[in-house]
Parts: sequence; structure tokens; C-alpha cells
Amino acid sequence: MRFEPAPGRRGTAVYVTLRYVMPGGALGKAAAKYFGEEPSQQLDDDLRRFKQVIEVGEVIRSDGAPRGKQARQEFPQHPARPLSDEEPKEVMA
Amino acid sequence: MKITSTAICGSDLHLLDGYVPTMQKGDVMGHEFMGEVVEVGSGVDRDKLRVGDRVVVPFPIGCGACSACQNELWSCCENTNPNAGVAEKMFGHPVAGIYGYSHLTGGFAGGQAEYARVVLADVNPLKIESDLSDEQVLFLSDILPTGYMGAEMCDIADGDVVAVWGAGPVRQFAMDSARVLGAAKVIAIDDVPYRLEMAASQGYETIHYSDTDVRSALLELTGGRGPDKCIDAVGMEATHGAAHVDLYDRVKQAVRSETDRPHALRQAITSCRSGGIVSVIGVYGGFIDKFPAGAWMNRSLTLRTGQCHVQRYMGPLLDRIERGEIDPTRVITHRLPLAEAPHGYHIFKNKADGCEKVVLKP
Repeated sequence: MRFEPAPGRRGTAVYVTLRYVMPGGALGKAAAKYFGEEPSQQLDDDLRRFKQVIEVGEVIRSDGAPRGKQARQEFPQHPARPLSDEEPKEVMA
Repeated sequence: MKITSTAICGSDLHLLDGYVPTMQKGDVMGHEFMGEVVEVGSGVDRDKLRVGDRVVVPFPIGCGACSACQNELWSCCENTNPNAGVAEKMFGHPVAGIYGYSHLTGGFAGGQAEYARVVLADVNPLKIESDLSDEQVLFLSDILPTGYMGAEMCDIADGDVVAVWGAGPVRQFAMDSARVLGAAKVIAIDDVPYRLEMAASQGYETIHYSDTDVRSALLELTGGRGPDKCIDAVGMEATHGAAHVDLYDRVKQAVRSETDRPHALRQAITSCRSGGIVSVIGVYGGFIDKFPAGAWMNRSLTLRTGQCHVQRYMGPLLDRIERGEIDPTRVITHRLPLAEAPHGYHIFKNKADGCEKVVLKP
């Protein structure tokens, strides 16, 4: 991981280098991407949540995305209506 | 918060009509709402918000900390949309979370409800501490700031003629704002007689586009130059007076080879005087066809736009309401209980029963 001043010193840019071998070749990569499990997608989720925690102090959650930014759960997702008492366990699992 | 008043917005119709992707069954709609704080989360600064406070909630959710919010570009907040990935695919960069406005803008439950959960509550809501009525302040949540921003982006100079496409509620506020900001003449363009009458009652010129050639009428009213500033407050579901043009875009939109019908935008660009400003507050969601780039480029036009950065305008506009410079209640034609929301949507969409703006009371 590298932390560098952004252009014009407007904030800090975070760079992550990740080396990995994806099992299953191109097919494996396509399958992982479909399920939002491709490492670049997971990294995108992590970096956005990291930015939220650093800038806002919390991960931003909505009724539709109770776990926050997650490529695997972008659409369809929980309807944009309040979770019922029983739902949080199920949705957050 | 417990909601005391909420409203149906023209942009709710784009969701209802299926032109904004990522709506899901069970979504709670509504992004114009106000009410009373009944519970405060543990992370909220008690000096800023307490139980019992009366608040108006701006429709875009800002974090207050990212570079967009720091620059008062609240509707472009970099942090508040958990579905930033979808928004990035559609728009190139993510946009802020918005209440009750599809999963593309975060999947936040909206305010056409009895209660709502307001996130980042010490950053966004505006506290109302005077005794102004709900109806006087409710529209600070969206349509009054949106109309105002449409006029502000025009950089109105003394003596300017400003033309506004559409005479619905946001457009009425764009006209009021243009006048407040110094326009010499304001022109409303629509095809719904009662909406044009509402504009005329405020002293604005009107053009009925179904029975008049809009460009010629605008030339007549501006000494042949065209309006100095043009506001497209219509957006993606425009209708066109000429049946063949209307049909062309309806077919393309129906088969999704364009997502938006940009008649008002095209006409605003070709009508605007050379060197003028075209300000767009009508909502576009995707892609348009036959954009008059030649007129835009060769006649030195400036195109400005944005989802309203509501938080930037709430305070100053509250002051204008208190001083009596703008009366937001003038657009309300229907007050209904929340249970009659479907009827409210029906009359608003079909321009029935003289419907201009519906306020719902939970």
C-alpha cells in the first residue's frame, strides 16, 4: 500500500498493489466478476469504505444496502424500505 | 423523524414511468419531506439536533467531509451512495445518495411515509426555529432550491430576458427566482393552460407550444435576438408540439435506443441568443439523441446544469421566505392524506383537476 499526496495536495491518494492468481483462467475470472468476488471489485469496495471511515467516520449504509458498498449486492438488493425486526440478522449475515 | 408533510415531485414521475433504472418492488418513494425528530442516533452531535426539533430534509445526502461537499457540490457527494459502482457505470463518476430515488442513488427509503430514517443527521437537515407553516418551508427540500439554482446558473444581468421551459412547480420557482435575481422579462413555455395561467397571474409572459411556433414567439418577445438565458426545467420526458418529432423520440425511448426525450433542451439551445446561457435543471438519466452541438458551439452558448446542491441554498432561501420575497405556497393546488397518494400521483401525472403540486399529510 502506498499513500501519496493527491495532485495539488488536495487530499491523499491511496494505491494498493495486489498480486494474485485466479483459479480457472478466463472462465474463473468471469465467474468471480459475476458474483462480485473478483479481487478488483473487492478492493474497490474496501477502498470506498476506507475513504468513508476516514472522511465521515462510518460506513454509509442504506435500507437497500445495509452492509454498505458491496459489488456483490448492488442490484437487485433489499428494497429501499426499513428493515423489519427479523430482517437485520438475515440481511447482514 | 415523524413526517408531518411530504410532496410528490415531477421527478417521482420519471421513476413511476420506468425511465430511471434500478427501482425495485417495495421501494419507499419520496424525496421532499419534513417533520419532527423523534429519535437521535448515538453518533449525532446533540448541539446540532435533538428530539423535538422541527426539520426540513434536503433530498441529496451529503457527508460534509469529502471534496465535493467541501466545495458545496452536495449532490455529487463522494461518500453517501453505497451503490456508487452502479452510478459510476451510468455516469462515469458516482453521485450522492438521494432519498426514495432508486437504487442508483443508494437505495435509501423515501419520505412519502409516516416515519423516515435520516442519515448523517447533524450535517443535512435544516432546523426550522420560526413559526413558519409546513407549507411555507416544505419545498426547501427540493423544488424551491432547484428552481433557484436554475436561475442562479443563468448569471442574470439587469435587463435579461429569461425563458423557462415548463410551467410546473419547479419551473414556477425558477421564474420567481429569475425575477428576484433581476430578470426584466420572464417567459413561460408549456402546453397546459392552467399552468400557463398560473405563470401569467404572476406577470410572466406565456407561450403555448402546441398552438404557437416557440422560436418565432421568442423572437417576437426579444427584439429578434432570442432570450438571453434559457432554463430547461423539463428533462427526459418532454413532449413536442410537432407530432413527427415527438414520435421519433418516443419510439427511440420505447426501444431504449435513447433513454431521454430532449425536446426542451434542443429548443432551448436553438432559441437562446448567441453567447447566452442554457441552464438545465430538468432531470436526464442516460443518453439523448440529436443534440444540437452545432448551435451550441458556433453561437458560443454556455451549458450549465446539476442536480440541486440543496444544502447550499436552504438557509438563504429560508431568509427570502421570511422576508416575503418568495411565496412557495402559491403552487400548492392539492392537500391530501398520505393514504390518497395514488390519487395524487394520478392527477399530477395526467394534469387532471388543475393539479400543480400535491402535498401529502401522513
